[in-house]
Parts: sequence; structure tokens; C-alpha cells
Amino acid sequence: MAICLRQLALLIAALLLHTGVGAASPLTPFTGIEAARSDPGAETPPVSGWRPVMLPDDWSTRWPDFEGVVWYRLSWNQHDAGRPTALMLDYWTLAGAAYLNGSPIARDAHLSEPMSRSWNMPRRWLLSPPLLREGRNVLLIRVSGYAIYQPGLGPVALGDPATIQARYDRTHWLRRVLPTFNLGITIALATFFFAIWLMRRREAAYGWYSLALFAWTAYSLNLVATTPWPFATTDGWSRTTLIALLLFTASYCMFVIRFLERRFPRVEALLGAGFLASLILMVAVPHDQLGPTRLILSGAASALYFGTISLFFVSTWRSPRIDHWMLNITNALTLAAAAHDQLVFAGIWHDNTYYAPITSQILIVCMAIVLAWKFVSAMTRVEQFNDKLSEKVEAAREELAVVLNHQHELRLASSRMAERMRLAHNLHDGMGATLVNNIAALEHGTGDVSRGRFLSMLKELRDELRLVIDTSTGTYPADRPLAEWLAPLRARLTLLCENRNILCRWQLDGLGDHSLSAEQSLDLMRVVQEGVTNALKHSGAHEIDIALLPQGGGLRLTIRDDGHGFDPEEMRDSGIGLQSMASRASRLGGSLDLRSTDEGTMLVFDIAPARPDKS
Amino acid sequence: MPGCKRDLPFVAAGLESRLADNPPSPDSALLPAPLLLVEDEPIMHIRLKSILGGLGYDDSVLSFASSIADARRLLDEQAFAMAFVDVGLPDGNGVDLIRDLHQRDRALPILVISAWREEQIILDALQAGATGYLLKERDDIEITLSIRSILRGGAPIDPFVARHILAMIGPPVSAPGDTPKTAATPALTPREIEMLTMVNKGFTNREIAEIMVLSRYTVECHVRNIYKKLAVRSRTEAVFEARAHGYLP
Repeated sequence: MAICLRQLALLIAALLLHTGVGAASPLTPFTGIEAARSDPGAETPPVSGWRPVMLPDDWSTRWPDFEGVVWYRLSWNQHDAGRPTALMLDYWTLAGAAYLNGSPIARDAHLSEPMSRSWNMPRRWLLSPPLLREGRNVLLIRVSGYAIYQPGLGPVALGDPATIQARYDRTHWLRRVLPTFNLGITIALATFFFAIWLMRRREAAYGWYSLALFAWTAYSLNLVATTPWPFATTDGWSRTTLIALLLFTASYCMFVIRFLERRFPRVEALLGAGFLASLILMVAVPHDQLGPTRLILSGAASALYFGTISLFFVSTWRSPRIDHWMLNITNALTLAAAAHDQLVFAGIWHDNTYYAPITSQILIVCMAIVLAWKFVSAMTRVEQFNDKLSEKVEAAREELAVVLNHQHELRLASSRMAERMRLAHNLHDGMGATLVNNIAALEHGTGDVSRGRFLSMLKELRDELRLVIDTSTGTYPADRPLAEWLAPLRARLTLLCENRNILCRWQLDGLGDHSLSAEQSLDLMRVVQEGVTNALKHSGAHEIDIALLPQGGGLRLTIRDDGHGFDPEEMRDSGIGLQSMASRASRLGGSLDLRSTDEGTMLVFDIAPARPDKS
Repeated sequence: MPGCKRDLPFVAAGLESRLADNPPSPDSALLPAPLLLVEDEPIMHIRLKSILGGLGYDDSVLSFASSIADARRLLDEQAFAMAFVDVGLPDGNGVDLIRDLHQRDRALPILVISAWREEQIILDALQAGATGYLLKERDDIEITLSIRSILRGGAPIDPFVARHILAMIGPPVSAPGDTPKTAATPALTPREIEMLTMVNKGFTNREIAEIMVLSRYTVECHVRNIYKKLAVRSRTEAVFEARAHGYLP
């Protein structure tokens, strides 16, 4: 921002210095400057009616409402015709021709409507004999103009060719080069903003700014155009120029409102209506009322413009945003230039130089900065947004992880609880039942219990506990195949058989991945343990065959021994093991069939198909 | 690492296994003695005396210690041919004592005595250098079988121990692209792994011997070697871990 301001100051200083250069050698003074009115069609100067005037001259101040041709006669004394001499004039308004000592030296293409537009066209001549004479020389300039368009003649300078050239260059740069250059830049900028708006209609500010720039382009054409095309009259051109100015002001006002991200529906409607009314007025107003109308409307436009930039300043003077400040500076400069130009336009200021083209360059720089700032801040926002987004994503992820962990812990806790419940259930179910049965047997049995019977009770309890531990230590989770559940039992029972020289054959191969719920497995293991232990201890068998095979969706356990057998009915009454086996069988939804003969015992235990919903 | 006797001819294998399974009365001269028994429960003293007596041991060669301190005192007084160590002792962890004993004498057979099937403790003890284990919950006859197997130079094994060791060395079937097993896992031979797999399924040593056409002695020798490898693994692993933690240079 500071850099920008310094550049601005340098630019202004350079411009001032530029205008300061020129007084290198003195100009030749005119001995007389006179003006006289004539008929519009006159090709020769009038004989009478000459009045002395000062340049630059606006004849409407002297002859209000005079519209036609005015002749200017400038005379000077040339001491040495051989000495190089140059002549220049800043402009004539509107069309004209020049004669030196009676010979034409310049002539616009159209001296009557549609008139040429030379009001911003400087001219220069290098004078030499025979055109230039020793002694008195007379320069005649015929100017056609309208009272309302500041008709007259600009400054005329005579002197050393180098001095005049420098002066001409400066004037030419100011009146021709700069406006043309400015026009190009404005069109480019307008097109650019228009394109942005086309692709992003939401950015209404850009659309309005683009419209303002296009209007400004139309207005600025006035500075550059030298022919009235495409209009048939000077009035047509003038009306259009003023409409362009009004459009510019209205669009700029809309731009500022949108730039501030505000909406004033009523004010905006009023603005639109005002513009439309002005448009109609400018098109319809007759020529004799054009002057005051133009003045009033341009005054209104200036007021609107001033109001707009005041609104912007009031809304943003505390804002730290660079773009706001740049726009404020831009506005201030424009305001200064516009104030000056308005004075020139109204004929109060007589240098006939409009500053808008000069300040426009600064405006473009400022708008470039505003745009760049907006672009950069948008990019920064996007980047920050990305950062924030990834932060938020990270936070959400962490949150999710926490929630999931929590859920996982809950699940763990609930599964631990379920595990404990199962353990309690197994203890209660197995050990508890055995304990209660044994206590009942001891309490209500007749006679003393033998040592061996007591020992077997305790061992039964221990075996129960062992099974509960085997199935509860988490070694054999419920989803493990049944064969793995049975492995420890199989190993232990086989070892016991081997020790008694009993051949123990297991047939578990057909099980595959068959699995039961933990409770079912436990019940099954109890039956296996009970059945094999019975055969081992009581039957005097030499061979025990244990087979567990799938049977119709369920399982069939067969334990067969070649022992001497026992009476199942008798055992059922007294044997606790058999009772518990029967109860387990009914709980597993199965059936227990025990057949004992002299040649062996066969236990067949059918388990109903596993219920998949229970685990 | 001592190798196991290679497979014997059928007849010889059957003969040997029959002989080994039914020792009429073990020659007490061949029994390793004296024995150190570290056990704090008096009833277990009686039980072990009875079981070992049944195997031919005289009470005079059995030295009982009720604590780790007692055990160390006894160890300072004399050398033992074999040690039985309970894991839960009043003045410390039996596994530490086992580690200590193993460090003193790598060849000393050590049995860990565990109350119930405390899987991790048994595994720890095996890695500390125990050559076998006894479970108090088992019937006397089962404990007798285990000790007899150990006296034969074998080692008792249960499915859960096999499963733990198998889990330690990784999945049984490794894909060709798998990274090789790290040095920390015991380098088991395919035969040993096959055996462990069968143990895990609930086969007894005798059944395994029959299926694999080996002598039962060979099977038990394999188990013993597996335990030795476990202990070796644990030592290298301990050194490795100590280095990783900066305790060793």
C-alpha cells in the first residue's frame, strides 16, 4: 500500500514536471487577437465586427446563443522570415479551417453537419517563406460551433520550432495518445470483468463494474473521435456521450453497493428509474434545451457519483482491507479529476483539458491492486479453508476414533460381562448341580458313604470344574470347531485308557468345522467325559469306541465298550452320573439311549440341530 | 541339541514302547537322584512322596523345600539330579527359581508344578528352562505317567501347550511369499511341527508314535527338544529385548 502511494506520488510529480517543461525559449507574442461572427456558409472573413479576444476563447460567453461561424484573426510581426518558425494550436471547437496570409494551411473534412470534431485535436505547422513573410503576418481561423459546446479557439503558440515541438508533443500526448491508450485499457478491463461476471453471475459487483467501464468507454470515445460517425449531428453525439456518463455513474453506484455486499432495493429501483427518465429526456429534449439539460444531468451524475463514493468511504473508512482503501484512493482521485473536468465542462475553467484520462491510468493501477488483493485473499481463503477442512476432518476422525473406541470398550465390557455370566452359569449348572446332588445323596442316603464313593464324588466335582475351566479360559471360543473343544478331553481320556491297556478309538474326522454354542459344547463334553469314564471304570472293557458324527443337521455321539455291561435301570436310579447325563441330553434338545448287555454297553446321544441364533 | 533316535523298525518300536509303558518295577539304580521338590503345601509333599515312592524313589533321596529361600539353601548344600518347582511359592515366583536353576545347570531336568491349567505360567516356565510340567488337578495316575515319561527322557505335553507353541511360530501353512520367521521364534523342524499339530488335535504320544511310525520314546524326545528350543528362544529374545531397551551394550 505504501509502495503504491509512493508510485502514485511519483507519477503525479512526473506529470506536473512534464507540464512544467516548455518555457525554454520565449514564444513570439501576437500583436493582435480578434474575433468576428459570420454567416455559416461564408468562406471569407467578414469585413467588420472584429473584437479583440483572449485565448483560449469561448465565444458563448461573449455572444450567448450564437451558433454558426466565428473567425479568429491573429497577427504578428516577423522580423526575419528566414528564421525557422513554428506555429501550433491546441484545438478549435468544433470544426474549422486555418489560413496563413490568405493561404489555407488546414481544413477539417466537414465544416457543416455532420461536423468534424476537432475540439481535442492539436495542430502544428512549420512556417517558411513564401508563406511566411517579413513583417506582418495574419493567421485566420474559421471555427464552426454551437453555443452549448464551448465554441471557440484554444491557445495558439508561435515560436522556435523546438519549443513548439515540445509543446505540441506534450499536448498531443495529453489529448490524443493518453485517451486512446486509456480507451484500449478500459475496453480490456471491461471485457475481463464482463467475462468474470458471465462465468460467475453471483459476482454481481463485477458485472456492474464491467457495465460502468463499458459506459466509460462510450463516454471516452468523445475524447478520441474526430468524426461524428455514427451520428448525423453533433447533438446526437453529445446526447449519447451524456447518456454514457449517466450510465457510468449509475452502474458505478450499483457496483459500489454490490462491492459492499449490500442491497438497497428501493434506492436501486429509484436509480434505475432515474436513469431511464434521464435517458428519455436526453433523447427527446430539443436542441435549444439541450444545453441546460446537459448541465443539470451531468450535475446530477456528479452528485450521484459523489454520493456513491461518500457512501463507500463512510462504510469502509475503518476497514483494514486493502481493497477498500485502494478504492477510496481511487475515488478521491477520480473525484478531484471529475471536479476539475466538471468545471471545464461547465466552462468555468478554461484550459479545456480533461484530467479523467490521466487519472484513469492511476485508476487502472488501483483496480489492478484491488483485483489482485481480492484474488489473493480468495486464494488464501481457499487454502485456509483447506487447512481448516483437513483440521476438521482430523478432528472428526479423532472424534470418531474415540466413539469407536468407546463402542469397542462397551462391546468388550458387554462381552466380558457375557463371559462372566456364562462362567457363572456353567459353574452353577455343572458344579452347582453336582454339588447339590452329592449333598442330597449324602444327607438322605442310607448308611455311611464309603471312602471310595466320597472320593469319586470329589473327583466328579473336580472334573466338572476342569471342564468349566477348559471352556471358560477363553482357550476355546465358541466359534472354534467342535474337534478343538474336544482335544484336551480326548487327550486326557485316551491317556487314562492307555494306562489301563484299554484301546480307545475316537472317530471325530467327520465333524469338519461343525461348531456348537459354548453351553452346548460344555454339555457334550460332560456327556463324553461321563460316558467314557463309566466305561473305563465300571465295565472292565478292553476297547472303547467313541464316535461323534453329524446326523441329520444335528450330531450323534456313540460310546460303545466291550465290557460286561450293567443294568441301565438300576444305574439310572442310583448313578448320579447317568442322571446328569439324562438331564443334559434333554437340555440339548436331544435324546439319550443307553443299552447295556453282557457283551457291552452302547450309549447313543443325539443332539438336535444347532440353533444359529444362540451362541 | 541332541538328536532323537531315528525311526526304529516296526517290531523294535512296538517292543520298546511296550517295555517303556509297562515298567514292572523301575530299577532304582537308574533313577536320577537326589530330587529337589520345592512345594509349600504339606499335602502335596505327601502326594509327591507317594507318587515318587510308587516309581521307586526312597524318601531319603527326596529333599523338600517350602520356599525359594529353603530351596536355595538346599542347593548350596548339595547338587540335585532333578527339580520339581511349584509356581506359587510364599516368597516369590517359581518361574524365577526355574530360570535361576536353569542358568546354574543347563542339563538339570526341571518340572514345574501348576495347580490348574495356568497356561501362561506353564509357557513362561518352559521358556525359563523347565523341561516339563505337572498339573496338580490331574489324578495321581496321570501325574505318575507324566513323571515316568520324564524319567524316560521324554516330556509330557497337552493340547493347549502345543497350541501355544504353534501360535508362537506362526500360522501352520505359510504362503511362499511370507517373510521368513524371525530368529526369535524357535526353529522347529517340520516333523516337530507335525507332531505339535497332532498333539493339538488331542492325540496322545502313543497314538502319534503309531501314526508317524516312530517309537514312543522318539516322540517324547522330540517334545523335550521342542521345550529346549523354547528355552533357547527365550534367552536370545531376552538379550535382544534388553539391547532394544538399552540395558545391554
